[in-house]
Amino acid sequence: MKYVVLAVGCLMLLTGCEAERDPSSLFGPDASGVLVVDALLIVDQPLPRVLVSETVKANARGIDRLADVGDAEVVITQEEQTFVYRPSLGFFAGAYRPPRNAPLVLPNTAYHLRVRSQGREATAQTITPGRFDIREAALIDDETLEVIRSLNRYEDGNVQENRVVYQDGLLEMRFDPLPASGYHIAIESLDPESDLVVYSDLVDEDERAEFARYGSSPAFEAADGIVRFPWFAVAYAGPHVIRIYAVDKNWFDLIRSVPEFYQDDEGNAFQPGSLAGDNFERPLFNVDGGIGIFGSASVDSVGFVVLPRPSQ
Amino acid sequence: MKFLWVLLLLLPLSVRAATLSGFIADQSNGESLPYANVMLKGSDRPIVALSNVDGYYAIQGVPEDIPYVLTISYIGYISFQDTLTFRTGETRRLDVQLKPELIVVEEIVVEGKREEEEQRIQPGFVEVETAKIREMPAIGEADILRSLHLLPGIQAASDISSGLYIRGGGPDQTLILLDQMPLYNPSHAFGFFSTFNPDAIRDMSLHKGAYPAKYGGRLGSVLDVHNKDGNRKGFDASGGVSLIAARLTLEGPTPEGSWMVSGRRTYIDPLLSFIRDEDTDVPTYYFYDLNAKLNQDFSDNDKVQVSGYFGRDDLSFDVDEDSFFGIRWGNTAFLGKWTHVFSPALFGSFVVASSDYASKIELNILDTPILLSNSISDFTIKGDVDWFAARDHAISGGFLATHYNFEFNQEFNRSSQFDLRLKPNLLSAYVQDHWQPGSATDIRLGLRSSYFSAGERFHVEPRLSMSYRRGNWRWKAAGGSFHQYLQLVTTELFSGGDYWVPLDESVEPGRSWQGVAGVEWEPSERYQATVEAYYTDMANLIVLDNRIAADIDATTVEDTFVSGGTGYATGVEVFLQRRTGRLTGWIGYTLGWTRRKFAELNQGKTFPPKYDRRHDVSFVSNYRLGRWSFGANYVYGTGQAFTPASARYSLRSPAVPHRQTENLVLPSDRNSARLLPYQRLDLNVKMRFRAFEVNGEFYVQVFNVFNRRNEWFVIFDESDPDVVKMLPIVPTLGINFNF
Repeated sequence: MKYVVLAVGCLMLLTGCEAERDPSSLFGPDASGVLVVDALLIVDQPLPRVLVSETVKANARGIDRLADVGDAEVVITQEEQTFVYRPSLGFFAGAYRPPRNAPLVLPNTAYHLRVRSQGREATAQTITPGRFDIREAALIDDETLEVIRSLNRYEDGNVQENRVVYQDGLLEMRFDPLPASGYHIAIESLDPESDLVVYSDLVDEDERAEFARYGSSPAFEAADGIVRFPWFAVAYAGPHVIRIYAVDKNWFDLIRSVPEFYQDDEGNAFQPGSLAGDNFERPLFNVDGGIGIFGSASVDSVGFVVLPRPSQ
Repeated sequence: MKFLWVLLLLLPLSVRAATLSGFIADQSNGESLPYANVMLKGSDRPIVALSNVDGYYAIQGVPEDIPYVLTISYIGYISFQDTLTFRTGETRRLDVQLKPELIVVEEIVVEGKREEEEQRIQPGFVEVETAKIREMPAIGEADILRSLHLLPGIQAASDISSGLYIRGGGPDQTLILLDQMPLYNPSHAFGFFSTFNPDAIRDMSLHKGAYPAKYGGRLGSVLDVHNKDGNRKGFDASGGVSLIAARLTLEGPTPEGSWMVSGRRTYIDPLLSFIRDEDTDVPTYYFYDLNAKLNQDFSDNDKVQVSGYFGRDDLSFDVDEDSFFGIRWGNTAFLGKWTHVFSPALFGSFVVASSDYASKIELNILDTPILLSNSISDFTIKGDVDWFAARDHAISGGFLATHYNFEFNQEFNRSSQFDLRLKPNLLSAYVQDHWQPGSATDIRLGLRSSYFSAGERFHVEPRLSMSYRRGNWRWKAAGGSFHQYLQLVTTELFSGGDYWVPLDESVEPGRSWQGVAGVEWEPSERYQATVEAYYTDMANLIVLDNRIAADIDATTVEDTFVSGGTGYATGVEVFLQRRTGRLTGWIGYTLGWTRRKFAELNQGKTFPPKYDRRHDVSFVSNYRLGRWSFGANYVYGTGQAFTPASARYSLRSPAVPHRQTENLVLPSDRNSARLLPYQRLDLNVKMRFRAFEVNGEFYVQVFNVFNRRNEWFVIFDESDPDVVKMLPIVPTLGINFNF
């Protein structure tokens, strides 16, 4: 037994020191050169640009425009109509624009995308949701949840009168749910010079300087047609717009499977339901022959002005 | 039921033969000794029996007028021997108290051999003595779950986690019982420590697979932990102080019984309060647990036991007036048990028990409140009967009826997002026959049936184990079918938010078939070598769907889980033990494969779970030299599986203004690469002393002596991949005492 102990001891000394990892061992089989399509259709708006690029090696530093695919054949079809895209002059190489006479995007309509380049073909389909309308936007009491006052809509009049004090009450939006796959909210601070209103110990000075003036939510279903906007999504004073998108399956699948769109990279590492680091999964792209997004949504918005708290 | 009748027909009639029965206990403190070996040796072949979990034994069909030598043995105790002759039809009650060997000679290292029923029959069965756990190096506190990680076939997911990954199964696939009460989240400090206070534990046994019919409800394995009954002979106090917590256990006799109270609490929070001031935000954290037990004998044939467990973790952090978080979780369990000897050959145990686990997470982030609360509670009525039917047959049977109450509530920004309340019932019954057709052969046939009201599921599960001994060799095999009706949602870092979900009619309950075969070689009492091979086939596996929408209006399990998974786990374990002498320990090796397959994951392709480990080596040793003892643990394992990156791409973020471009990483096949191999060496030194009539022990221990920062997981983002490492070197010290 003592020889076994001795042998194990020697083995431990030989192997116990920390080994250096070759960074390339963190990468799997190369999947570069796959077509990446990127186009989102918004109901009642013109057909969008389509961006075509390709995947690059996993150890590439950042992704620059070298990944753009400038020689692609891009076509969107809707029933009998075919819209042949052209390279978007003045934009970068992988951007393609629709024909000038293309009609606006229709609700409840199927659109097909086909992209071909150097023997590769990527296809996808989206069915646009119906028109979406926010029925009511209001400031409610955060204890009783009763309406304090309704907010003006863009079509009603001056949204500059929608003044709300930071963290005073809650912003609530009500709508009739559509048979869409889900919803996605975005917020944008419209005045790039406005002041920060966040003075929590949760964030230090460096982080305050880096607060973005826009952000978006995870995918959600809102089956009851009620959305209460969280104050942690607001960082600045001044005019803001909240956009609620009723999204199709492709859009919904993408945002629910790519958490980077709404949280820090580390944010999903400890997500319940699996082991640490075990949530790195291939996103749900719904693109045949490639990856990316060809989705659609209809959108409505609410404007309001954030005032700092009196104590600030 | 037909099965039972077949068993009964096999029994020989033994009306005129004699019967010997009784309880076996520890002479020093009156604690019952489960699975003690009882042997009557006469002119015929020896008659062998074993005491049950309550220390009761019975031998039927002893021929009359033949002198027999009765030997009752138990590891660490001096064997009891007597010569007995029985009259025709005699029923003799013989309660025996065994004297511990350590009492006789203080410095002799425990010699002896315990060949208990489970170990004799059941492959994959392990019994770990609490004393052995205390000898092992640990982080701060001796921990029974962490000590199990050093056995072959059992892994930890990380240095942070005390969760058990046994033979390719996840932590939810192991049933964990404390005095027959299930504990739903047996962890403190986010999974870092287990809830089991080693001072309060009497013994602990683990079925790594193919477990017998008396257990059910999990796909993989069973950990059965028993608290001490309490000292029936005198007052005893023991405890300890480590860098993390203080412990105190008190026990003593009652007029016809015993009591035991054991408590443990961390004292990090008062230490943290010293550095907390207006400028320094410091969270408050503590955990504590309390075990209590009362035993009372109302007659020679009637014993009543009441026991309870209560444990809590509490973490809170007031950041400022707009932001705070608080997390509280804990288990509460109570049990009342009555054991009755109906006749010398018929022993019954009846239990009323309740177990509750609840957690509540409250956050307020910049005036946005978030609440997650969940609880699972059960109320159980249970009965077990041991019928020592004949010399060759011991029949056990029992029933269990459990009412569950699950609640899961999630609120975001003052809106209820998820409110699930379910109250299913579970009914189970089992019967098994331990048949000894010859002195070298043991066969245990069992059948368990269960009905789960959610989804109205009914299953019948056959169980079989057998062993054959020839000389120093014993061959063993076992197999069975298993079902699981509850699913645990857990993460290795943050077990405080763990929750259980009952599987409803929308998904099939998990199912496994297990087969185990092994051989055991005992060239002497000092050495033992075991080789076991196992295969588990799993179906209807489910995992939480990480891609569900934030406020999904889910009403069924299918809505929130990825279901219909299949998988298997197979491997070979080698276990070499030196059990006696100044140097004791073991070497374990496991060669294993584990795979999973879900239509909705990894594009439908088979993948290894993160804890799939090809090679796993553990080396545990302890050397005693006078008042000193030296311990060492060494672990080597194949690196855990992780998902590597295969490419980078860019997409514009939907919804945000000007569609900001995100640079993203495309994963390769799930878990298709490996982290660097895991290695760790832990050491400890202990010195025993005696001062002021108190026996004490001072210890210094070092976790991860090489300070090797083992890899934990990889985060890919738009810059270089970031490999997150596990714990560095952690030295701790402490003191234990007993008086």
